[in-house]
Amino acid sequence: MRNVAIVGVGMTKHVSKRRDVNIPEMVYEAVEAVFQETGLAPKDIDAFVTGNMPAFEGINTPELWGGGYWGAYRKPVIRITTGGSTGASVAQGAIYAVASGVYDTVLTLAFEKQSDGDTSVGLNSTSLADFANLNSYGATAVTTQLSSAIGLFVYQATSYMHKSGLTIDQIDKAAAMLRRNAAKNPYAHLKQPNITAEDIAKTPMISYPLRFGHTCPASDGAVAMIFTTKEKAKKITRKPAWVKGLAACSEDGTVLGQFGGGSINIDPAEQRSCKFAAQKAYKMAGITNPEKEIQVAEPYIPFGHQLFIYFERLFLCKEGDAPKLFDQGVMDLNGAIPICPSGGVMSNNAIGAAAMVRIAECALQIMQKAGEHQVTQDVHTAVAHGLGGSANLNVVTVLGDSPN
Amino acid sequence: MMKQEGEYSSVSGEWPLSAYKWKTERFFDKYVEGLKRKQITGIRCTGCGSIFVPPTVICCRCLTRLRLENDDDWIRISERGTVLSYTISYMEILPGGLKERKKEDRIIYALVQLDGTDTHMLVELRNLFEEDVKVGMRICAVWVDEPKGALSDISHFIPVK
Repeated sequence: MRNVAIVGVGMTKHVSKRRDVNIPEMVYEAVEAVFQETGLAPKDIDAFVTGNMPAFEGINTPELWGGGYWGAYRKPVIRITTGGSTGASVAQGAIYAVASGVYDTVLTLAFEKQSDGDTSVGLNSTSLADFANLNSYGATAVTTQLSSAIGLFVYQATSYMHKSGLTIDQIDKAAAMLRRNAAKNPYAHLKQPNITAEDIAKTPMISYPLRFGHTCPASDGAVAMIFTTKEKAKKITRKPAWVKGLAACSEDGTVLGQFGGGSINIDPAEQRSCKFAAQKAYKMAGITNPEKEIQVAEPYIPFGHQLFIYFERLFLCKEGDAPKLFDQGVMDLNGAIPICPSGGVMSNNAIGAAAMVRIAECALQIMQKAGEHQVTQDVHTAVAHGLGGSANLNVVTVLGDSPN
Repeated sequence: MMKQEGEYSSVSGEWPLSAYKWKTERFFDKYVEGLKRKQITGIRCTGCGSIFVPPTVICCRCLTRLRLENDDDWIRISERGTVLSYTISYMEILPGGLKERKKEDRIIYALVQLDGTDTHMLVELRNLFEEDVKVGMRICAVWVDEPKGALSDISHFIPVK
């Protein structure tokens, strides 16, 4: 496979409601930023990969009507949509294209403007196949309970707490840490520089063990990135971020199996598909000891307890050790392996964009362009993660400061 | 730099979910026939031996098509199982947002693995205090008085020793 370099990142500031722009106008801001950052122009781009969750805005085929705002006319365009992991899958689509030699320079963009639509309606439409079957056989209560993202992730949280000893207090602390990190990130949505675990603890319980303060916001935002070859990267930037390894893995849904049948993925916290994807990506990257070789991680954390689960499932410590290491400060901005210095999805959640933002943030850390939330240690290797579907699709991308 | 707030407009009309269709295969038919007799049944995959409750069409472990029409592949399953995970619903999800439930109206949902099966299912748990729910606890199905061959024939689950 050819080496793939990330030469630029463009992001909009994420907010709850961008009332001043429509979707293509918002996406244009990210595209404009990445062209400014790299000094490239549409003529330098060989192909485009885009993605969002069209069901959330109710506006379909955005690649058809948005292309004129990206410089994509008369160029190859592909759209990829995989739920929460959409942005990570979009980036991996571009990596496939450059690594394989099909195209040299690919622009990726991912976005969501959640304030334009109704996320609950969109989520229901993603579950239509399961619910159609269950409802036709007379089930109602269970499908109602599942018609929101939290209805799914609470089972992951309870199971992990049982296995690891994680407490709700620790989830409060994790949520507060992420929101404080976000306060240093110019693009983040929920910035709460002085928030404490006690403040989070005062928020009402939605569904045990998760309270309001443990959940992500709904954001409007967009991200664009440019991926290119080793030869071309040299002419664009002195310090690109390099793709070292990548993999994605799916398995049975964590709460409902296929169309409402029993799921064989019986422990929602185990996340075998994350472990499998991480193993493959690390192997490709030549990483044998992720704990020692990775300096920063951006796992996909829309709910506070996932900080602990994905720290372990990305092999950044032994299984069950994450709560203890968190208390010791290992995951802090100046810790041994800072987790989501950007504030993560807990602070910034434009769904289609969110998983590409994880990769973009790792790239910024390697390029030393993260600004105020740049971690203190030198970043040689970073891991980004996206989670989609019914917590059953995991997408892992490893970046580094040198080519393979 | 953000510009001034713009004007927004919507296209009026309904976009009903009921406009969409999904072929349901009737693959729960034998399962709900069992429920009507107050029996939980599961299907065994002839490829890898996995036992699915409720049933599925294709085994996602080994890609074998399950023989849903073949009585020999269906087996009686215990009404007892183990709680793998649970939640207590403090809020009701309504079209306009979340609404807090009164303490006595909170609902406990559990993922249960019935004995001898390879799958879990989501059920409602009753007859216990919130603080007594535990991962690993043993629970048992409670039937409605007059089962009619529907998923709702299992009313809920309760703790057992």
